[in-house]
Amino acid sequence: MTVPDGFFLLAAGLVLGGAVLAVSLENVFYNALALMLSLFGVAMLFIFLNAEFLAVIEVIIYIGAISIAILFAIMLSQPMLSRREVPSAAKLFRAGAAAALVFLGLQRAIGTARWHQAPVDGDYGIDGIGKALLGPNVLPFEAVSLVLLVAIIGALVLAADPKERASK
Amino acid sequence: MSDLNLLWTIQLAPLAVFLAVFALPKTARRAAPALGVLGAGLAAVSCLVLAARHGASHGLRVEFQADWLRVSGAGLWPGVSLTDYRVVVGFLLDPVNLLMLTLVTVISFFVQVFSVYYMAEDPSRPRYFAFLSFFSFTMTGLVLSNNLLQTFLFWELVGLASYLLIGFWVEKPAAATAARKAFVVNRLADLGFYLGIVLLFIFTGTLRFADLQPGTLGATLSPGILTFLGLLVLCGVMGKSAQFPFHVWLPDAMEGPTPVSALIHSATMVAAGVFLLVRSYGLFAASAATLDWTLAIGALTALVGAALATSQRDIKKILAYSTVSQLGFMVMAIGAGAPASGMFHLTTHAFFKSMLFLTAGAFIHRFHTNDIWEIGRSGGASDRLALGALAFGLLSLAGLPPLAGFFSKDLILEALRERGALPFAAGLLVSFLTVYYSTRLFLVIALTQKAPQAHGHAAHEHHETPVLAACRALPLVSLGGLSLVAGAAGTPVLGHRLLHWLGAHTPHTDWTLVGITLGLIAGGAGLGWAFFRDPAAAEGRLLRPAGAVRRALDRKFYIDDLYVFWVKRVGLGIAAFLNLFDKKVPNRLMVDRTSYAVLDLGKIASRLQSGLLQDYLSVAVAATVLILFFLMRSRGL
Amino acid sequence: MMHQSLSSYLWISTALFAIGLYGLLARRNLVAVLISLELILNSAGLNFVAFNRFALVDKSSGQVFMIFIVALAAAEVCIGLSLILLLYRRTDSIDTERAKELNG
Repeated sequence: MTVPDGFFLLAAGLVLGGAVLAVSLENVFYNALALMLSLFGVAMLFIFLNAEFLAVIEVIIYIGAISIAILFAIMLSQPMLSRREVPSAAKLFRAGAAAALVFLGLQRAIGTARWHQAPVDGDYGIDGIGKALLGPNVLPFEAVSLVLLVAIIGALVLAADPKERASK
Repeated sequence: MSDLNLLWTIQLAPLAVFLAVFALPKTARRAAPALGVLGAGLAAVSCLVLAARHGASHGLRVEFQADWLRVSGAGLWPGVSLTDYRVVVGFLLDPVNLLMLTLVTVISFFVQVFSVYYMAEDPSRPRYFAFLSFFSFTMTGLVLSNNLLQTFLFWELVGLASYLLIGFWVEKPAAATAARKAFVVNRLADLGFYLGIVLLFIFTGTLRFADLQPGTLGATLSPGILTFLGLLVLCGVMGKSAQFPFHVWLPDAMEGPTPVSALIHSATMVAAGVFLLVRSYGLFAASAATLDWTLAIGALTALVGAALATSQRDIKKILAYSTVSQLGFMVMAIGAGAPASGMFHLTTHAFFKSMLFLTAGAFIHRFHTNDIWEIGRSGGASDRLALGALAFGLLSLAGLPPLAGFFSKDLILEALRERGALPFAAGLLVSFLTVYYSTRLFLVIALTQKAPQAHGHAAHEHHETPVLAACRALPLVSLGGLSLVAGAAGTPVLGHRLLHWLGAHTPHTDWTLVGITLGLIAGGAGLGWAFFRDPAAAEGRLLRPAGAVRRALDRKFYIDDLYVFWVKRVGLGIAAFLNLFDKKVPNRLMVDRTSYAVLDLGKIASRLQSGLLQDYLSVAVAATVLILFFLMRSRGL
Repeated sequence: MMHQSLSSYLWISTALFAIGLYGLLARRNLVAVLISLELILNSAGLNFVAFNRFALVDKSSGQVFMIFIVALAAAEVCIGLSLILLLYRRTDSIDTERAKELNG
């Protein structure tokens, strides 16, 4: 096994191991931390895929902002040490069966597909992304920025809850 | 006026009175009695005109008809050959009809007149006269119809009129019960009648009386079917003419006003059954078995009626059972193959029986009691007119020559003797009993000592106006005279004109039979005299404990009990059982289970709507997996 | 070489998707459900970037899509968390099995 492959396996292990931890640990705070681990693994994989800018985006935004926001929500919503409800066995079985079936189905589909390969060389750089965002993909770019605006305003409105403030 | 117009007058004048009385405002309804008498008078006069016009002619047969329904060459029943089906409406005028019509209209008139006296103090007078006129309308309709379906229509209407009149005093619960009983028993019997009509129509395609000839019927239908049809129509006769075992309604019908009993339950309505027998004699004659059954039923009825009449205390009940017995006698005559004799006896019986009922009404109205001993004690013997009419009527009923009853009864006895020894013996026994109970009735009223005035309701003098007294007297006298005359028309004195007119052969006078009859009269009268010479003692004998015979008589041979048993125990028992079965089996097994199954299904289905997020997601994922699976299968993956 | 074959990346993304789906259906804590949702989003994004390297000629399309995914994930987390906070204020719990007023 070559060194790159070893790092690849490490990255894969981080992704999947973190994911497994993220869905199975009882303490939801640990789940969030495991999510961060998994996302770090994904960032490593992005580097393997020549998308360094994206790897950085992943770390800064996903790990650094989104996951931290999740952590805030966790800490605001319940004491960390109390109220661990365990899902019933039927529910776990149902979830596991669904996940397994989906995995097997997708894998079979992927495995029997003949992917049209293209040359690996190309311009992965940040100027290419920038030109694309303001060129051919300017419409979704603007739309997404609108979505972000609306989301922020919406979150503010939802969290404001004037009735509760008035009754207090 | 033409014949048709006269017939319409006879038919519609009473109907007009009926409608008019209800159309008048309440204040003008005091004229109802006058209107009733007027309508009945008009009908009677029209009928007499018709009788005068056609009384002398032979072979009278006038028919006015219109087609109602006509289907050619159809077969309504598998196995019946194709026939032309035809339903008509129409009037028929022939000797039998005309005789019956005269009877009905004349007696109606006299009853209306008597009712003016009898109902003088009754507050519901207008309703009474309206219903009485309605009855005249329906009865004439029945008589005039020329086909069985129209007869049936008016048959039921007559039953309705009877119900309305029996239950006239709505405040009397006994009257309402009696009216119901009459209607229900009639309806039960009419079931057979209607079935007979329907089957007859299916098999022969026509219901006209003219088409019911023994020859044509016998040619197309098998004897078994003919007997069956005859028996079914006989059912209707049994109901209307109170034959055994459908006779139970007639004694109870005495709860109505006495003039009603005089009109309906002695002379006209109950005679309608006998009239139908004569009318459709073609159907009955087509099968000997039917005639045998008719004879048997008539004999049984006559005996039962006569037996029960011997033990009654109520004057109206005696007369009612006597009517039952005489009707049976008439039916026997027809069963023995002598419809003309039956018709003759019907005529004479109508006149003297209605007169007898009016006499009873006179007694009841003056002395306020129905019991014959009470009437006697209240001074019944002092009412000369009523007592004389009573004697006259009873003598006619007993069959004393030269009164009308003698001739008609003798003709029937002759027919019975020709038929066989057993029917003849039955007829003789009935005659004997008739004389006995007639004697009993007369002696008790006439010979009972008048009690001192200590009795509460002594005969107080009604302050009768001359009009009322006339209304009381006229019908009694007239009907008495008529019964004499009508009888004469059938006697050898007038050359058996009536019988010829009715189409029968000249009977020869059989003097041995006359002798037997006279002997019976003497024997029956003697027996009655022996028992009731001293009515007070006889009454005392009644109070002794009853032997089995008297108990059977008192319970009317347990027939009513049998009916009650059938209805209450058997009928309601079956109904209760079926109710229970319905609750347990279909309700619980099928209906309840179905509803529970649906509810359970709903409960199962509602689990899909658990409200839980991840349940819904699982369903979505499962659906996606399924779609994925089928997609891949179709691509052959 | 493993790190230069498309299928190994696809394996990882499929597995990540399945794990995320499991967490979506199995966890009782709403925030944990949200975390699982993030995993699913990431698996999709990983797919995009992998195909970007191996199957696309224009090497910026896939990356642009990943940027969109990140942005939308951020918006979604924003709204989702404020909703969770609202629910917590109302019912004092963020258990998925408590919120079943649409039970029928």
